[in-house]
Amino acid sequence: MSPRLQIDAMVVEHRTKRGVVHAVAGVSLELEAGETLGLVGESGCGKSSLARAIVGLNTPKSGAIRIDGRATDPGRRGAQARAIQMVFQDPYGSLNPRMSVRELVEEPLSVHRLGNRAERAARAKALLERVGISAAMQDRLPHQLSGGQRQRVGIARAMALEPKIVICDEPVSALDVSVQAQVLNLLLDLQKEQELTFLFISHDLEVVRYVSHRIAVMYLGVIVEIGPAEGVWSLPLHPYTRALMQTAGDAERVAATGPMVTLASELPNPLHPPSGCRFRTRCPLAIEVCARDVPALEDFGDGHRVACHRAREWAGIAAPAHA
Amino acid sequence: MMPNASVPRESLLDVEGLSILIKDKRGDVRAVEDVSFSVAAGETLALVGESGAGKSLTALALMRLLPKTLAVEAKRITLAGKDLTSPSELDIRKVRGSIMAMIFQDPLSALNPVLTVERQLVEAIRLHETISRSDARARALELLDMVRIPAASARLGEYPHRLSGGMRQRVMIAMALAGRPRLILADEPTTALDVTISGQILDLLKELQRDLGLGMLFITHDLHVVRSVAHRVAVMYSGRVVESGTVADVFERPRHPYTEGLIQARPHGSFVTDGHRLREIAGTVPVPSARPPGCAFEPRCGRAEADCRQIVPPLVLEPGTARSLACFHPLQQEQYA
Repeated sequence: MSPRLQIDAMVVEHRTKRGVVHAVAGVSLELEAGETLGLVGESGCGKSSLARAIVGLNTPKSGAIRIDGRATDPGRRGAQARAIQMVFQDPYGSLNPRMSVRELVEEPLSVHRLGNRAERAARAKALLERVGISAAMQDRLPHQLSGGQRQRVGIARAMALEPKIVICDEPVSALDVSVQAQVLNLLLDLQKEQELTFLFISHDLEVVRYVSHRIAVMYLGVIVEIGPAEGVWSLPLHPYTRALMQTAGDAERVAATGPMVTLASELPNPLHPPSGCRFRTRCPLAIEVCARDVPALEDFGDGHRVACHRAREWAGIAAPAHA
Repeated sequence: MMPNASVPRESLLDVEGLSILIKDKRGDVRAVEDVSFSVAAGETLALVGESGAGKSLTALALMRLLPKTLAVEAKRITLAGKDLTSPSELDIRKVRGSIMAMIFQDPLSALNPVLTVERQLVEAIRLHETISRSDARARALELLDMVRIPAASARLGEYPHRLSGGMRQRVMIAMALAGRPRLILADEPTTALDVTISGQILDLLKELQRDLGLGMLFITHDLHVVRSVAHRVAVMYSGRVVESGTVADVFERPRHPYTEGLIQARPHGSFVTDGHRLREIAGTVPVPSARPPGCAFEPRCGRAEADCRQIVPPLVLEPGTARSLACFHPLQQEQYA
């Protein structure tokens, strides 16, 4: 059976005054129905560019998107809109401030000419109630809602067209901790009910670990590590993943499974990515070959793939935990 | 690593009964109410809570940087032996920058965009010391070295927008250190940064604090950050401190239901492998003008009883411990597993 969502060799470029930024430099991913793939990386690594290309908000330079095996035209937004929807980080910036909550959820239905006026109103009401926005609040404007309520409206809007795939771009990052839990629980409930596929982007590793079946780590436009969530979490193999885990407050666990990686510098200029391995300029473990050859994603078992010339050296250290 | 909790306590900042009033024709509203805490030299106190808790207002009140529509009331504020309970503009100018300095979340809006790093640093240095321009420049270089900016002399001529987020935050820390302060108020200094950079900045702040023996009031919503930088923590909810104590003690054995809820609401483990739902705290933080008459957390609290609806629980030091608690029906020590 074909995967629900297949991204094949996606390249996204942004033209700037100072040159071309290769925001996504050849990313291939496969997601199954009902699966969550967590995507982590620093700002500027290309995760939002990738997300926007998948929903059709960016036109990729090359690459294919297939839904259930059928190719979509990456340049045509309409083709993807009903199957792929997006939940944004900042619901305030993605909701029209002059529309009531009910109108906001009706809008995608009328854009796609679904149902008559009464049916759309009923559907919007039901969707809003499902995400926890009571009938009494449905005539309010976005600014009259709390951050958590606004994100619920954003979720109802994304669900309106009954998508198969939802791209969640930092959906809880702007919310307070207690509200984050509410929104995460809601997203997971909806996923279960509708067998949704999630591409879940977050800089918060614990949130990603909690929601994801698999985790992908992105650095300067490429995937450097991908695998089952617990595998990547318990045995991060790429030095960059190890550095991320270490800073996320789990230094002891990282130390037990191989070299510690402390990042001294910041993300290099994406206009001129380093030769060979793109991470080598920040990698304390880099050797000669890293400057010369681009490392390919290599399988370490169980679908845990890593693009690092040296990962074999420490892959054995805590291997039993991985079996 | 957890900072050592047994730091000798020589009190640097003492705040007692601090309230912040929002002036309004329909009646004043207390955004912050009756907050007390102290910070010792060489110690970091984290003020933790969600948005609207009053953490940033508290820091701005100490610096007297609040807009005129907000009024500060306090029983007592002392800083390094000086009484700052109701300071004159002159009093506060003498301590601001030189005894206490503040680091903000967003350095781009706190730094002047049209002045070079050098101009801003030299200005800050000469505000506090009478030294020549060239000596001030040397001191500026020294400060940039202190905050580990590589190739410091090349950075002096840069404008803030030319620097990365991490570098800007380092420049702002250098600015804060320019007047040789003894207390740093850090308001979410790493929130806008990526996790790798935020780790670097936290390490830098910890190092500077240790090397210079600074006191630090660290404001954050991030429990991870609290664990990594602070010795003690005060949890704020809707304008009040609801629980305080050493970080290890409060995090391992929270007794206020809100503290416990905050810790439990954070994801831990994997939903995919064990299917556990996150524990929600139902509802939202009340706005200051519509707080319930009793405990502000009562409408969201599973342990609330009749008394919680009528009386605001005062913050009381638990006998024989370093823990303070504002709750009539706290979790017992053994209840938290």
